[in-house]
Amino acid sequence: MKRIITLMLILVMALSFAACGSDGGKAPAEEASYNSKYTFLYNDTALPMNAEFAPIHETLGEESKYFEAASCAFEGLDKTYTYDGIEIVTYPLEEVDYISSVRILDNSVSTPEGITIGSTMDEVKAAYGEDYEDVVGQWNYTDGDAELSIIFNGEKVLSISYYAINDLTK
Amino acid sequence: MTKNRKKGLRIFVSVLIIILSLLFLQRLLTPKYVDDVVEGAFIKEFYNEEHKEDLNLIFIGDCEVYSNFSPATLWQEYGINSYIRGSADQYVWQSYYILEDTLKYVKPEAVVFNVLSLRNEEPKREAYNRMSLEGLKWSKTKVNAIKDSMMEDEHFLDYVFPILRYHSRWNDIKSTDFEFFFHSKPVSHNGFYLKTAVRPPQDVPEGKPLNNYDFSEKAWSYLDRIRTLCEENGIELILVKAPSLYPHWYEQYEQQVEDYAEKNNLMYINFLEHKEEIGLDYNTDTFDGGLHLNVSGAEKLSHWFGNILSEHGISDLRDRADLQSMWDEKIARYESEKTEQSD
Repeated sequence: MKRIITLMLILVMALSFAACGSDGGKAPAEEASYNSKYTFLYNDTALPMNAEFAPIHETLGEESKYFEAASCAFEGLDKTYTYDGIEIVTYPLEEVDYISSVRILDNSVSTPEGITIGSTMDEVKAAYGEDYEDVVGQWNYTDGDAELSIIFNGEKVLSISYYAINDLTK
Repeated sequence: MTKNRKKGLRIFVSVLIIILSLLFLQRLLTPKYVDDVVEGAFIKEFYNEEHKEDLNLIFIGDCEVYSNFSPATLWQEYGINSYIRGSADQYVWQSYYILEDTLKYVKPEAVVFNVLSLRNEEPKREAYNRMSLEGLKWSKTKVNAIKDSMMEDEHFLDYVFPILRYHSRWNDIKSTDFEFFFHSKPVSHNGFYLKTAVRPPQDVPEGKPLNNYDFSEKAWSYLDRIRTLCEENGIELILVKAPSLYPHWYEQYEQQVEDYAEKNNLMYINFLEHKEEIGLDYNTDTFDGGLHLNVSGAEKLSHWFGNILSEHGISDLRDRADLQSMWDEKIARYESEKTEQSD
């Protein structure tokens, strides 16, 4: 009988330590290095992807618009904060909100490298180089835990977004 | 008893105890979906349904079907005996397999498919796959559904032996895991997720520009398969877009669905274009800022849609005493939950 119990315990222990699905790793924010050369600055405040939003929110002050959306069947809310010229989206993880994306809304705001809505393809190449992935007219520049994504309408920039790279948001 | 027989018996008993222990642990650790996230129970609940073979309308799709249509209203006002086989973020390929599974039990007069999921080319979250697929009964259909849905880091064996997926849930065990060890409780109303709460929309964002608005080949392929499956079974396929304000439904999406419906002679209703006729008031008819309707909104939408379905020829089954009796019980539970949530 002792042998059976020992065998059972071993099996349960083995299962407990076995590699599992997506719930087994660290939280994306814990894994994130916060280091990416693609980090947006808004009024000199850095908005790194996967960064905790609360202290940044305090620095930025009150947003002009706020929207929250619950994911189907999940607790917590994806929150959208709109400021002049930008939109910041956060994702929840264990009751803390982290930056999921930042989108430039108009040409009153530009990236630290000087790219804004209406910039040309050549200007984008001059600012960021040619090491991008072209996905049906969308240029994705990736570094660390962030992706800078630029959509063109013809030769001109139509949309600029920074996205967090982690298990939850991509 | 010889020494060898004794040894053999001991090994047999040992193996049996281990298997039973693992089965016990598996059942204990697998989520029951009876308290916080009840949406995970919707797909399985269908199998407990009485008179499945008499359902004359089936809904398939994501949360935009299970939150927005009330089968109780469709029965009370039009005698339509409907069931929603919806699940959280149900992808179009999953809708196809869930329909294939459903047709093993019933051949309805019509199937209603919500088109929002056409925008998805790949699964987004393992948990959504779990909630859509785990509840399906094992069959070739389920095997194919899992194979077509798995994300890169998922493993088929984890679906066969859920303990491999949920073993680390031991520290999240709740009293309900024991309470519902042997049985479950109904959490939906014919697949409808009843919510009475009210939260009006505020600052709903415009859709952000996309690099490509075209639905993927995969999405079209599975919509074709849904259509063909319906045709082969003499079932009318109806396409709908629920009146949810978010995620944004782009004009480019709308045009593609309209063209598809016209080309294939299908009825398509975008309820977003009929909000006023339906009588929806988003200040009172949504529980989460316009993403999903609450029961008040779902009843208004079902009243409006039921009239169209009825005029379109979907049968009124209220003369069936057995169905009427079943619905009397269902509606009592439905009304009771409305009252309970409102208190």
